[in-house]
Amino acid sequence: MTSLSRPGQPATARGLGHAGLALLGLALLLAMLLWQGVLRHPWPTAEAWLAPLSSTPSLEGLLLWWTQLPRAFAGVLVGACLGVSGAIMQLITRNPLVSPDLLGITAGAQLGVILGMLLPGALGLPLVFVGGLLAALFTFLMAGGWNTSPLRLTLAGVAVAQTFAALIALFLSLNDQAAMVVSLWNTGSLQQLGWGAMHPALYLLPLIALALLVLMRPMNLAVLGDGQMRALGLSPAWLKGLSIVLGSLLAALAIHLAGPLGFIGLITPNLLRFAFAVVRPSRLIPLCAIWGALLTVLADALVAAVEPWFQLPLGVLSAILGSLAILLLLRYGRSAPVASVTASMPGENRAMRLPLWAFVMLAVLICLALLVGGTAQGESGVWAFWQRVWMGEPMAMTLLDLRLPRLLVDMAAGALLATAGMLLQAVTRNPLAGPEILGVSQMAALVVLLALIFMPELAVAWRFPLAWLGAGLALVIVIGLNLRHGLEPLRVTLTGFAISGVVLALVSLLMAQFTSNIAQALIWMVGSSYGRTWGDLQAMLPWLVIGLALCAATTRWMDLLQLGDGVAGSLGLSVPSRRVLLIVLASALIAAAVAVVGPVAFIGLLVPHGVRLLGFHRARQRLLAAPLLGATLLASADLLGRVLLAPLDIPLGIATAAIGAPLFLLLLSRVYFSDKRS
Amino acid sequence: MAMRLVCCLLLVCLAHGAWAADAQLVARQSAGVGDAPQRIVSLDELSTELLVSLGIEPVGVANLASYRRYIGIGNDLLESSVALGSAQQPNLEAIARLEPDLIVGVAYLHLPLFERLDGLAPTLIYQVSLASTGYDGVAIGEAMLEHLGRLTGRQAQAAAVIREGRQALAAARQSVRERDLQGEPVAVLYPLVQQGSFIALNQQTLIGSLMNRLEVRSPWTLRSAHSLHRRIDMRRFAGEPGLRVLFIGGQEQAPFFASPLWKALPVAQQQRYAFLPTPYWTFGGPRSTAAIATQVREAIEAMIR
Repeated sequence: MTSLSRPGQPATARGLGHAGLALLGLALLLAMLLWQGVLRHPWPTAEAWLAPLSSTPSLEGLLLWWTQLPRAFAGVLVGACLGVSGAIMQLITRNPLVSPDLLGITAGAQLGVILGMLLPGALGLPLVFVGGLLAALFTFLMAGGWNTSPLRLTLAGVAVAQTFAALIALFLSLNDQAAMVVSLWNTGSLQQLGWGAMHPALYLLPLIALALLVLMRPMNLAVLGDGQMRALGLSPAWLKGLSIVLGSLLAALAIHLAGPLGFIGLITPNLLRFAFAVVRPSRLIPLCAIWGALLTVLADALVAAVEPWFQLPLGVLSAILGSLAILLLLRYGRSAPVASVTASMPGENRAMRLPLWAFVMLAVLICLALLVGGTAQGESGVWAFWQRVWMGEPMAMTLLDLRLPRLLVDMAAGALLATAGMLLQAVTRNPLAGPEILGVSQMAALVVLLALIFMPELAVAWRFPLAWLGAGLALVIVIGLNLRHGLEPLRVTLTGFAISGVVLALVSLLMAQFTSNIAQALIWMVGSSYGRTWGDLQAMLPWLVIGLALCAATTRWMDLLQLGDGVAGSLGLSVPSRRVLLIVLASALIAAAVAVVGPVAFIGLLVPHGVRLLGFHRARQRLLAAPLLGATLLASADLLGRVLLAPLDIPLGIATAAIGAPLFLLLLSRVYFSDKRS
Repeated sequence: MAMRLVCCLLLVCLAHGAWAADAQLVARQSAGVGDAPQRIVSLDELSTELLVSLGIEPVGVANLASYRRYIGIGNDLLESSVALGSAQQPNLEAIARLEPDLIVGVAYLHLPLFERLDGLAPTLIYQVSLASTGYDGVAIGEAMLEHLGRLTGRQAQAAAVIREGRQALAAARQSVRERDLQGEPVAVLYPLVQQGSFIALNQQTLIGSLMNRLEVRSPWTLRSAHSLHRRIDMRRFAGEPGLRVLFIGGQEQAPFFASPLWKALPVAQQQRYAFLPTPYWTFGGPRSTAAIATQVREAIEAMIR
């Protein structure tokens, strides 16, 4: 389904040969290393150079050997690890978008950091490391273990990463001090104290390098596809399993040293592929080590250079540079290497089939039950509570006023997000396209977060236009960059990915440096419907009604787009302009939801899959089913979050992940995407 | 383009924030506030500390468990208080059930909730923030306590508690003078022990503004009133002559403080550092001020000159 290589073309098509590329990379790396480690500081005396041999080293010598040199060498290690890890992961998943973040390793490592802080007894264990590895292992198992397919792996990775992120938000919102430390760690830094953190690398890297050397030949064959590999007597399952283990070990090593810098892993292989046409894995992987190291040290030098004026964390810089590079590649790169990630959407489903009318009835009934029961939750009885409301008893009225609008807001947001997700998946023909993928919900949430931090007095009144502004901004970038190319699905997806990368980096910068209330920023970025009022619902309603009505008018386009651009075009559909319209519509729906509840994840990603799983394939059917399913799911999640740890009110986004992730993983492991199909 | 737009927006926001900030004490309050409230709900640690400082037993308290564990001032008055969940999302239904006659909160957490809270009971939201134009950490605690004292008819208690805080401050200042530390660099830092760097805090925080009152010099100030902290790397830390450091964050046992690099630093060699046991430092009332000022005084007195 995907091809990252173009076997017919000579690998060194352009400019430099591979050896030249390696030498150039090494020379530049050496120069940068010298600059970062020594030259940018006062020149060390001979005594300082000899400090490790001295029993009473001078402060200068200790600074050289304990901070300057470790920081520079950590850059090399981190960059090489991430570069190679990214290359392996992209190869195995046959998806150029994959970075360790997507497979849940970063989130797992982050959880390790937090657990390390909450359990002081465990400080001896490298929990960052353990967390990252466990997350990757979990992803791998959830994706079907040895028999995993690229698509399943990626989808499982998204689910695991989201779940871990939600868990992290829960822990941090309960512990302010941990929140501060993690938010600082989260911005990434190569600063080291001595060489101790690099010890695991010392033992592991030679082993990993050896394993990679052995795997080089099979990996060259991996680009041919599973069938070819089997024909050549290789087990794709073993190769995948081993590659995942190696890739996650490398990523965990890097995260252990520097915090999350995932973009290096994403950008290095793509840079080499796009700019220098390196595609053969046995060449790409070693080159990724060199160039990943170079990029990382370069980025760190830049951070150090601007430090007197502005404290720019390395993680933020790497995300911004990585995203810019992706955008530039999309703008100027040749279109050939753009591999299609259009995964096979599951076709007919044999397992379940419910008539549409029955589903609609059922969903409406569940919604009503949620409203009636959820509003009366925690009272002596549902009937008794509504009787008290009927009698106009003040306390019952107060509770009604607190609960009913919140549940209705949940339902409206669920419907909006689910519909938006469905539109996006139709437009991009990519089953991974949730509202998060275009970067629209994140950008909208970022703009509101800026307002929450810098002008909290106005944030409430202005959040709707602000969210819309953010959504519009993301939209202008996505469309502006891709209109020329007829909004090709992969380009749109890549652009959205780049935008969300920058947004997430800016959010962690804001949290680490500017907000006096990290927990609140976290809750906002994970999504919450706490304290929402009738006014909020009123503000959402026009968007919901008009948005769904407009969607109803576009069902034919969506059905045609599913057939592929060629077919849709030959059937008389103006594909690019219809795509633009659908994207505009989707982002308006997303903005409306985000303005009120924040960028709640999973709904937009999951519901369209759920709807398809229920056997609804035509756009008209799905347009009825998706909003209802979204509404039910979000309202149930919120209800759960409200009662589970009462009086603690778990933010909606966390509850959504708690419900959504296992559901998704269950689907993934049971019925979805059978191996043969994808 | 996205970056440029975001930056522009940021600038607009910053400029706007600068105009909007004003040294006011109450951010918003309900019309009904002020009739000698009896059943008071506190939505954050600072408000809880001030209420118990006045001898009031709040009926409901957000972040109750964390207050009891980390701050602990007046824990005996909180025995029958109802826990309300987190300060970020206090449980509104629980508040409604308590039928309070006053809800106290702070702007950086609860301003967006004002309408909701106002619908439940008379609400008072204090303008607590780290903006440089407002009250600083020490002053906001005193001003709020005075205000709450007037509101609840406990002016005498308020004045006594404020006096206690000022006395502890004066004693610490006296200690600074006796050791000729006026104008000398004394930093309060949070050590990042894994990386070997340090975090300097905003001057408006409780501990930052407390140090400002001691007439010592803070070597690293923050560039923007909006930023919460600033990273100080090892070279800069090592290059500050005559530096004295008070560490917060309870990491005394970290291997960092046993490393050869740390031991070679002038600060360590001359024993010009100490660890403050306080587990909180951003906001607090006069009793917190007194507790931290006493810790600072003892730390300074224990340092070798």
